[in-house]
Amino acid sequence: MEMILGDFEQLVLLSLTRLAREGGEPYGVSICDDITARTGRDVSLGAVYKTLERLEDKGLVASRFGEPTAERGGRRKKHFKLMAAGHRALRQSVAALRNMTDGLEAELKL
Amino acid sequence: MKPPRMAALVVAMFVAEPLRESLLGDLDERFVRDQTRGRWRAWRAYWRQAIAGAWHLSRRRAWPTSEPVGLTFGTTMNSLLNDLRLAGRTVRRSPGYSAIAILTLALAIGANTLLFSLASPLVVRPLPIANPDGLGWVRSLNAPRQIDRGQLSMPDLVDLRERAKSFTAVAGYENASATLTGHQQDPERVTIIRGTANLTDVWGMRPVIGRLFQPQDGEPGQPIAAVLANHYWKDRFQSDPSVIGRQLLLNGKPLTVVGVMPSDLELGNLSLIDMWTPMPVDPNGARDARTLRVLGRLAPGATIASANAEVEGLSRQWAASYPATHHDWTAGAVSTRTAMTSNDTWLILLLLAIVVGFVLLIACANLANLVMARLVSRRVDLAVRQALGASRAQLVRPMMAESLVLSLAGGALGLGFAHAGLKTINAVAYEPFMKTIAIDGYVLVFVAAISFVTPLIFCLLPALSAGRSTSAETLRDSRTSGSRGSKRRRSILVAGQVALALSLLVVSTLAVQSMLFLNRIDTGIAVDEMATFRFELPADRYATDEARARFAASLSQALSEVGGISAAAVISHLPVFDGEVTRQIEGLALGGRDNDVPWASWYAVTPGYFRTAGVNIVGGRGFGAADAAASQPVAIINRTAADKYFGGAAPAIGRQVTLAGRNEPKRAVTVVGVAADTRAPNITVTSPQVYVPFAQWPRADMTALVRASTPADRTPDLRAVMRRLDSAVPISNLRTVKDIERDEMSSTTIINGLFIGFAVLALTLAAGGLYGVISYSVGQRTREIGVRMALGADPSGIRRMVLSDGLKVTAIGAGAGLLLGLVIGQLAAPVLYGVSPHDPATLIVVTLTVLAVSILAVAAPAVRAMKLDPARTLRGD
Repeated sequence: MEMILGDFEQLVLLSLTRLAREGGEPYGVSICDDITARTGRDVSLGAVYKTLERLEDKGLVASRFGEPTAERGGRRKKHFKLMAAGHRALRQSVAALRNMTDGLEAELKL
Repeated sequence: MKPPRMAALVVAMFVAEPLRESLLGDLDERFVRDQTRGRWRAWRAYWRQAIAGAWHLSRRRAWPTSEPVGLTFGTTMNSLLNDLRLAGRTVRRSPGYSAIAILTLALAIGANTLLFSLASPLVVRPLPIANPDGLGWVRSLNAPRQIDRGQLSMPDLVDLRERAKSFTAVAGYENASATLTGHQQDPERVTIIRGTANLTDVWGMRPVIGRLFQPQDGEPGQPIAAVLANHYWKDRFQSDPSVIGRQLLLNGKPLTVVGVMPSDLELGNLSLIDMWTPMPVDPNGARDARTLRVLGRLAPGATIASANAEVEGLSRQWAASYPATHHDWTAGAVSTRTAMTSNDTWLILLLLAIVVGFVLLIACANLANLVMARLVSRRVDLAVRQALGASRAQLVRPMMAESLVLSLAGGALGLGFAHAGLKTINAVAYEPFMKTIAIDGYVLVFVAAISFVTPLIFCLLPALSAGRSTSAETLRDSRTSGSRGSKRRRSILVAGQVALALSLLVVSTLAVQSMLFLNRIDTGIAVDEMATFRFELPADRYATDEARARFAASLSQALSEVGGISAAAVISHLPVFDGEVTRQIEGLALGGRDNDVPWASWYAVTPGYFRTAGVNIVGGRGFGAADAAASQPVAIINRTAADKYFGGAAPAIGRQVTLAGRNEPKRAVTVVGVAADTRAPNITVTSPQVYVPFAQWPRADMTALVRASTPADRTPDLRAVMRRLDSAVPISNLRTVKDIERDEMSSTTIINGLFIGFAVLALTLAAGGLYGVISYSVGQRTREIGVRMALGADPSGIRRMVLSDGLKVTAIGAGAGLLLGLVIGQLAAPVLYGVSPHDPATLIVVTLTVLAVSILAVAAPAVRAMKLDPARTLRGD
């Protein structure tokens, strides 16, 4: 199934992929920090959660609760992981972008 | 440091579980980390994230249905609507409470809306200028004469054009008036802006039809190209587009209508302008003919600050090169907003904004108390719900919804109040722009915003205290009277209200005293018994000075013969109310004071002036018919000039001095008399003045002045006399001097009315709050008081206890209020006249007033407490 991902959805899914590869269990703060660090965009936790909520609705990511910690005021983390459908959608999106930019390196000064 | 609780509460209120938990956890985690970069930063970041979270995640189903809904609270749009529906029902069910809350909110929101409507044209509305930020407005300043927004002369403007690199183009304009003939029966007096040919271009105006000025406009030999003001085009030409190309006569010279200005230009004083005409640029004009307002388009890279520095530098060179005309004068550039409004206006707006802000805070404190009292009365219900697992957000939400409904109703009613207030101001105001202020889109947005924000403010404290006490305690004894903490919170609120109200009263009382001082000032002329009008003799039929002097003499003669008129005069311009025209005085030996060029405010008057205006001659003689064109040139000076330049009235008589004005030869005159002072247009000061006989200094534009016990009844006679003498000369500004004074004072009257109204409102609201809190706490303590009395407490002791409870709160509030009042009074000092910002009498009277009102508010509940029947209270119903 062809799934069109929004710009911010792509960022969230990419971040999720990277954080998972680095061995972590991605959650709100780490995703938010990663996107801010890499894009310079001032991203709010609310926006990240809203997007994750939508992605979970679409079945592209799944979530589970972790253990409560003291520095979080005894609250649990909500961990996210990329589902197979999410992986597929992300791959399609990135491929589409690659195809569109192909040969335009000079013009875009990439 | 702990994370901000209010922000967490915002999240809790808007974000549903289970997302709430992870978001709050994330926020805490980040907060701990952010604190290494500063507490303030961490605090701010927390708030920002909390608000963004609430914004993004509210009003939608919490999380896909992967978890059981059960008792968890699904925050949905539906439930929000449900809350509002429920709230509407609650509001209707307790009409007394709702009415008080809505009225309180309406008064406070109405006051804020009224002020916003008045300020919005200056603050938020776009200026009628294409690119206001790209313009710099040049003003001249003269510190000794307290001029800080002076105008410039044409040679100054030419210098700026040639030498100021901060500007790519410099334009100037001046106000003028002239007689327009050719489009209807009667000749008409029109007000004009005469501008340099590039004015409309620099300003960035766009014509409605036709064109604006072109570069060759205004050059000698060209016919006058006139652009009509929009309202003038509508009124006189019925918006007829074929007006372009019409030929008219302006002061007898041919004029062609070339365009029409847009209507949005008619803001402030510009709404008085009938047409715009070009003026020639003459680099050889008088250097001290400071009649031009000058504006320049900023060069790329230039800022107001850099332009200001450059203009200031240039003005110093002028002062060095032309000491005769530029001594003490400097110049500077300011932004468009600054140029459009005086510092005093900004300060007054700021003060009024503080006042209405305080009124809103006081209202919020009252409502917070009401809401808390309601929460306490529902505490059993709340405790049960809490015991069944409701979160604090759930407990608070109905209260928030109810408050929002009340606030929206209050906002709507407040809009009505503001509308009524504006109508009153429209009626009282003189300035055309104040007459047209009305509720517009900006105001509606403001009301909506304030109605939404206000409930957030007054629900803060109640929301924090809600669900604080454990439900078990509450359920065990439903008759306890609220916690100690909640009583303390209510007392703090009331003390704060008293403080705010008292400081407002201080400021308002100062403002009123200042107004009374200004009203009490004796202007030196018989304001109540005079009428006046203005006209200009056409140059073609009155070509010589002799003809003009003759007309002035016969007019004042004819006017004084009218029944009911006791004296009449023709003068160059009105004292006190018209701007000053000055002459330098030469030939004075002022030892060691050569820095101060002697000057005086100049008036040309016919002999009857002093009797007409009620200005006494205190030394020497007045003018007579013998002071004719050919006789010895004479002058009368006022007492201030005599004291300042001659050391008294007697030494001044018989002295010869030279009067030097621009565009005229110097003239030697002999001082023959000293007159009493009349005030300068800024009525807090008196200028040195010099009067000369009109016959010796005739001019074409004249002001007639008559004295009559009922001046308003004489105005038709004035018109009739003028028509008899020369029916072709149009007259303007035919009014009583009293009317002129009232119009001059109208803005002050409005501003003071606002100060008084807002202060009374604040005191009423604060007194209501005090009464409410004390009587509520008496009600809560009924049992305790009953026990005390049963054990033998003296009823008067009970009364004392309740009174002292209330007055302790008042005293603390009053102390804080006095300090606050002193600070705001100090801020207001520049716009206060005749009263010190820390006037002890004001402070004492205001404090006593607040104490008296507080005692009244506390007395009723105290007496009620004293009369309690211990037997009944202890039976406990």
